[in-house]
Amino acid sequence: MREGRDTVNGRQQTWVNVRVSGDGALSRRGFLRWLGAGSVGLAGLSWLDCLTLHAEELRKAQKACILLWMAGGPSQFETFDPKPGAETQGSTRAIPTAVPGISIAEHWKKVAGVTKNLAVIRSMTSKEGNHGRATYLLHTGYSPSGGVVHPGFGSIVASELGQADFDLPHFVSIQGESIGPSFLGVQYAPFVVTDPNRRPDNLAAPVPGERLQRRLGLLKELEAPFARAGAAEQVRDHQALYDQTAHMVLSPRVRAFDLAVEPDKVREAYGRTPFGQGCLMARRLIETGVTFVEVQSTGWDTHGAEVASLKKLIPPVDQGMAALVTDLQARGLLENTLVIWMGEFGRTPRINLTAGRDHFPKAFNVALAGCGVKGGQVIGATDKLGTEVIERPVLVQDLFCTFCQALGINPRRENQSNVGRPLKIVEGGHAVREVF
Amino acid sequence: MTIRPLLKYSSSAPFCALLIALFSNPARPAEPAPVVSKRPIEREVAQRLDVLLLAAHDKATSLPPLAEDEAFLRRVSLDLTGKLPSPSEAKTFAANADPDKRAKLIDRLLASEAYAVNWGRYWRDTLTYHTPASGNYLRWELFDHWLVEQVRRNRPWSEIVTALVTATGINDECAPVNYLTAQFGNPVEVAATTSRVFLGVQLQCAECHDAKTEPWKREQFHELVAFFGRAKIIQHKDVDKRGTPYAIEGREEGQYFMSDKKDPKHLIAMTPRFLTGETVSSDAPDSERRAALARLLTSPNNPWFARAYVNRMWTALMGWGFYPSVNDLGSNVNPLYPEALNLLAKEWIATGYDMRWLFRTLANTQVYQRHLQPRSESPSEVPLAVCPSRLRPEQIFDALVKALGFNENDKTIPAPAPSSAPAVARHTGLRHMIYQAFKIDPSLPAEEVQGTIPQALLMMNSVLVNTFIAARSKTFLAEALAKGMPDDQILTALYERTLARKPNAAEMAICRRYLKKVSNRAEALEDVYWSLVNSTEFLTKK
Repeated sequence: MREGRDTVNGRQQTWVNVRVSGDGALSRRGFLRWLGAGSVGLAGLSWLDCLTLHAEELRKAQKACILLWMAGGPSQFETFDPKPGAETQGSTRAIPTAVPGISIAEHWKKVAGVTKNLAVIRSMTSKEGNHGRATYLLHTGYSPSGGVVHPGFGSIVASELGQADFDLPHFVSIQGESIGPSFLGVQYAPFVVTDPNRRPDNLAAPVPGERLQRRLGLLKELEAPFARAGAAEQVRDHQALYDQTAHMVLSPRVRAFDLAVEPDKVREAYGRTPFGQGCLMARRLIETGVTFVEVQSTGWDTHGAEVASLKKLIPPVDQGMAALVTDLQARGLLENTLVIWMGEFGRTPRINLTAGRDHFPKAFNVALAGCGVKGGQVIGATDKLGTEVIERPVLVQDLFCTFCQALGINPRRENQSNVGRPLKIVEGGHAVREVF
Repeated sequence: MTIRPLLKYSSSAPFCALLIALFSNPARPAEPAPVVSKRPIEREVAQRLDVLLLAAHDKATSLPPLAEDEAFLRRVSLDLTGKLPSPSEAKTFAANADPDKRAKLIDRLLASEAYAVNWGRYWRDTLTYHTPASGNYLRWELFDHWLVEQVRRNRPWSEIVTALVTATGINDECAPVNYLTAQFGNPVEVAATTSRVFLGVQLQCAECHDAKTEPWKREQFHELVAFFGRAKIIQHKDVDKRGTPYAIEGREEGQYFMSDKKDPKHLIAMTPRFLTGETVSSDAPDSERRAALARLLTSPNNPWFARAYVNRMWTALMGWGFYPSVNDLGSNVNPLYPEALNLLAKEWIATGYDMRWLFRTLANTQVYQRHLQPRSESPSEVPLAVCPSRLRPEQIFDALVKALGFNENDKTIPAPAPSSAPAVARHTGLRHMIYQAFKIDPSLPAEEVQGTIPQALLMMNSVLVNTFIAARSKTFLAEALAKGMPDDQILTALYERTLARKPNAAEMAICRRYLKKVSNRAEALEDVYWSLVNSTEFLTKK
């Protein structure tokens, strides 16, 4: 591997020349032969494009975001707002963390070690207590309202910060589908990875690159008669999509999806769980230039037998999240990567008859790290029993303004919506200044 | 003035016309009250429609010729039944010398089960596409089956809408109630969807403020919402482990409140009032409120109801609409060919909202049967012909089944398992895989449908496509080669299977050249097959 500086199209660029070998299957000679075999398709793909990767330094200048999404609504009592001694707390104890004065729920032993990087907001409050509606709200910053389809935050960040010539998707969602781009357009749609332990579906071509190229050439030729028969526009769009897709399939960056190349030690550190490996893939993707990655953990809707469920739910997230923050920091990526831990709402202070907690949007918590977030602090508070926010209430709009500030996005920027009126990225709210 | 909710609008049309004249709303396009006459004949209306369109058409541009039989057969089969015609159907149709064969084909397709399934799915997706509801709130399969059944029975559109808007009961048992539960019984959302889909009136902006481009006031939206103000959503016990069901219960008390714009804490109780001015007493129980709403929605005097449906179906079949969006028949948009739209709406009302009647009429027009035309840059210069549009997800799935020759339930082909939350687990297996990749909101204008990278990846690289285009095992190509079929015969068969047509001379020449260039014959034929399945044409209704 060779590093250096080069001038490409009159522009100074930091680059890393990676010789892909072994399982990488692409050598310079092979690449040139492959280019020669099919003269059409893959417009603009060059040797330099293919093998010049942004160096870490360049990568670091671009802000990115990782959302750790706890689907179902995690209990604040059993995560970052325990109420030791209160009748509402149940049997889960509180443990001290690396930051004196901050305690969190037991089972979060590894996260307790990285609290110096975390800002915990204990005073989130909303009105949406239904999974569908609240998931939508915490993903878009808006409550659903018939007709206007709001883009997910991942798509917004991708459209604001994603680099135009990047050949992987700007937004990747691991183990869940997230919320789509709506009117921002399909180029900002989440690319869904169902299982981080294997390559995403259909990413690898089943035929050698040379033959794929040949097929694409034939396809292009065979499309011409249909284009002349009244579908020129459709054929042009389809061709552009196929060029872009082939570009991605053949891009060396797709190796970011391949966890097998990581040393065992690193994989163990994140935990050999789907969530842990998802966090590792998120780090690899961010490192390679992806703008937004969501990693989902499901099962937080603990209406019954809560303690037993949480014992299984928490450890993979604890390990994955702590490893992610540590690793991002060690690689100098945390500075420009916002990490968000949250779910759609909190859970009731009252423990129900089946030893679980029900939906509670009135008070819940969120944890943030990186990208200028001042760690080692708690913002806002609930009362002794955890039934009310008593200090510094934070609305979902405030939270989204905070994300925007961290990422350097103007929350009042307007996009043209699907119903023909402009829509702000965030309507109302103010960034929580204590976060920074 | 208050109308007693039990008033029967259908039997008192003159009275209604008077009322509407009295409460004339500026947003309402002027339209005379319909005269109930004898049932209009589809092909006569189709002819009158073509005459009207020709009269309004720019004479300078020449009209495209009628589409060839194979193109028409593919188009009408996809539109009415969602399926590609088989090579043998195409052969029979081409050989048929009956001058009336197109009309007869239309009748046959409309009588098929595939027609009911295709349009039931269209409505299922239209009504549920945007909801973030889980399977608890939306019993998707039940709702799907119910809609298919309504189309199969050719229930009048007015009755279907009435059933949806007035349903009460548990969503496990009462299928149409899923229309409300899928929107969490939230009156604001249900009212916005009802107005958007059934009337083509975009009111949701008026939820928060007076609409800027429309004459709607904020109050008017919330008065419409008040019709749903006593329909309450209730959680039920999960007795059979299918997930907690939800019910809509009609209440006799309670009001829907709008928050004061200046002082959001101040709540104002809203009296149900329809967009054309008719009200229902604020004491009326839920059943009366929603029954009155259904009558007002489906009244022949409602200026939007028939036009919204006609515009929607026209758009689905032609690839362009009288209005640019099926969701917005706004007063600030002038429709194209208004005489044609008025004629269709008037005659369709006279049939009593007969869905098959409208399909039969549209499919029998010359405008539907002409050669494909590109969508013009300027929206006012629409060609009097069909423009290309993307097939809907299950039409693509069925086309793939036919083109590739696989079994829908083939478990040897990997397909990602559906994830449960927040979306409803809709299909399973291979159908799910294609549905998930290609799903689109049927209300989206054809020119706004964009392809996605996962779609392209699936078609390019999936095990499904690459297994069945291969010249190995028991695939079509393997058998054709084993039988010793000559190249030209195989190439023709590949075109027929995938695109439901024969290749033309130019296409044959490209393929032959390719075969010559690639020394491995089986590989070259696989590549042709792959290219046809991956083509724009395969995904396009033309």
